[in-house]
This record gives sequence, structure tokens and C-alpha cells, in this order.
Amino acid sequence: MLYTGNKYVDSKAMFMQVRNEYIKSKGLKPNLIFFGDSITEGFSPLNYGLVTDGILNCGIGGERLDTAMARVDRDVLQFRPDAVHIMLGINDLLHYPQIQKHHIENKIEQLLNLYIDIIDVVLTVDCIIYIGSVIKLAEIPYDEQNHEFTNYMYYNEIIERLNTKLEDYCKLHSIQFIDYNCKLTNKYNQLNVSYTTDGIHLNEKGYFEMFKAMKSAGVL
Amino acid sequence: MKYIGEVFQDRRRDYLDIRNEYYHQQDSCCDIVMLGDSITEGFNINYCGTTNKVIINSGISGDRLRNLHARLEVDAVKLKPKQVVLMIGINDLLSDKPNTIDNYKANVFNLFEEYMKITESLVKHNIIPVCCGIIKTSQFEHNHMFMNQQIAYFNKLLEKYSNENEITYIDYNVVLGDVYGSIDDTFFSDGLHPNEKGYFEMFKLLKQHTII
Repeated sequence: MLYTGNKYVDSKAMFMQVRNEYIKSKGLKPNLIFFGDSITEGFSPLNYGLVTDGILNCGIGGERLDTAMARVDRDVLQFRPDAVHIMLGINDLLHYPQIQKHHIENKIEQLLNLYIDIIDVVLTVDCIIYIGSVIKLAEIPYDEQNHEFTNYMYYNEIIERLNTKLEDYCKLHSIQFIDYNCKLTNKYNQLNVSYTTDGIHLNEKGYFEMFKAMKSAGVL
Repeated sequence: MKYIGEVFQDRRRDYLDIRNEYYHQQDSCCDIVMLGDSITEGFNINYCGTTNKVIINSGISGDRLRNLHARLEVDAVKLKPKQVVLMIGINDLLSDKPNTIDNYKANVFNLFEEYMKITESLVKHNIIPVCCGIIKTSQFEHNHMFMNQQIAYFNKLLEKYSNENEITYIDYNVVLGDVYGSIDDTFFSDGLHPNEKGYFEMFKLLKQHTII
């Protein structure tokens, strides 16, 4: 197994490997896999009760586009699911707080290419792909010690540009793109404070909105 | 549903009300309702594996037996499940501190009587209860030896009651415990709440009993 060097991510990835072996040994077949970062990890369809069976959550907090590729095979492809919901990208932006203005375009292009690589790999097992938009940030500092993360306006602009590019790509290749921001943001185009715990992660009400958007998009 | 005046519990209550309303609007049905406190609330079954049942999580952090009894109708009975997986009691034991070695059995028995009322009212509504024993605590919890003694007594009563009434009894301590009669800390995040490894063991045990 490949280690990312992030203790939290690695311990979760190790757990996930044990879990995957158990699922395989029991002959369970997940129909729908949620692949992503902490926002996916915290998403529990159990909280809504209206969900069909056979869902597997493969989200790992802190996951980035550049490290996610290493575990696509292990966590998604080996199960040959009918559908995969992918939602990644926010950690790639937050972990590089000082993107200079003239590098933003490059960065977005680079992230889009990483995303496309993952989509291409997942498409090899012939399943339906849903791409979840990167969710915008709210005006709550992610970490009070680390003021770099408070610059939510700056990130929201990049997120919007990344989402637009991603949506265009999805349209071109007839992949379903789900825009969660239209449900979750307020009139200032930021994540609604009542839907978030810390400005990035969603609370139950936020997840419920996300759930409803998934439901109308036909994911669940 | 009425608020009880505790911030975390009421916040979750707020959400569960929205969810229940949506559930009734959709006119859907479920197989299992998980009912309990924070340990139930944090149980994300889709993270541990897959199941072919529709399961609803109605856990509220910090819930005590009387809180759960009060919301039984709204959060379980009205959702019309076939089964209810019930795990509750640790917050009562943690909060009712003045238990002493001499009076603990009487106190635990009082709690157990409240518990029986919950299962009886589930049975009355033709819902099959699945009783889960309380999970023990580790050394990170204050006075954990005595706490575990009380938990063991509660679980003993529950197991006996379950056997007599042909109710499935599940003791998570079998998979989460260590050789000293306490719990294995590798399965817990803080000595009380299981981490993903602990939940995974719980998931496997539920699978073994063919509950989920």
C-alpha cells in the first residue's frame, strides 16, 4: 500500500483495506460507492432512512486529488459497482494556501487534469459516475490558530472556477455533475452558516440538503 | 417534539424533526431503526460495509433512558420499522454519580425497569426489539472499574430478560473487550466512544446475528 505521509489519512486507508477484505470475503456487493474526502466520510445515508441498499462509503478525511488516485483501484474498482459518486478537490486547494495570482489558472488546470485521470480510471469498469461539486467555504475560520484559512472569499472564487471547468468537462462527456452549491450557499455566494460546523464541513442540515440534491439527481 | 434544554440534544432533535417529516412525506418504509445515544449516533454503517436493508439512525448524543422513552413514538414507532436496535443507558450511569457500592444494584435495577418499559411498548406496536448491552468504559473514564461493575450488572439483567422474552441480545463487549474485563482502547477514540475500528467490529457482530 502507498502511504501518503499523513498519519490520519494513512490510518484510515489501512482500516479501509481491512474493511474491503471483509466485504469481499463475505461476498457483499456495493452498488453505489461514495469516493471522496472528509465531506464524503461524514455523509451517512443512515441519517435519512430513504436510501436504497448496497451503499459503501469510501471517504477519507484529508484526501486529495493527487493521492486519491493511488487507492481508486483498491477502494472502488475491485468492487465493480454500478455507480460511483466522486467528490474531491477542496484539500488540494486548502493545503496550498499561497497560490500566487498568476498561478491560479495553472493550479485549476492541474486539478482538473487530476480529476479527469480519476474519472478515466473509474470509467474502465463501466459504471455510472456522478461528480459532486467542490463545496464553497463559509465565513467561519477553519482553524483559529491558522489565519491563512480565513481567506474564504479567495478560495470561493477559485472553487467556482474549478467547478465551472469541471461542469463543462462533464457536459462534454455526458457525465452527471451535481452542483451542491446552489442548495448550500447563501445570497453572498458563500456556504450558508447554518449548514456548516466549521466553515468547511457540513452539519446534519447541510448533509440533508446534499442528500435532497442527490435524490433529485437520481444518485440515491 | 419538545426540546429538553440541552444544546447538543436539542440541535440533533431539530434535525431529526426535519428528517422525520421528510420521511413521512415520502411515504417510505424502513427495516431497522437504530435507537440510542451518541454511540448509536456515530454509527455509520455504510462506512463499515454494505447491507441490503434500509436502516435509519435515530441516535441522539447525551440521551438518557427517560429522554429516549419520551421520543420513542416519534423517532421509532411512527417510522414503522420491523426491528429496533436499542442501545441506551451509559449516560444515566455516568450522570447518576452518587451510586455507592451498597446502593448501585437498586439504582441499576431502576434503570432497567425503565428499559423494560421501552421494549414492552415496542413489542406492543409489533416491532421486534434487539437489545444491545451497554459498552464498558476504559481507564480514561473516571472510576471506570466501578462503572464497569454497574454496566456488567445491567447487562446481566438485560441478558436474562432477553432470554426469557425471546429477544435477541447483543453484547458488544465480547468483541470490544480485553482480557481484564475492561475494553480494548484500540477500538475507542476516548475510552467511551468507538472509533472506526470499533464500529467495524460492532458491524461484524450485527452481521453475525443477521440483524443487518
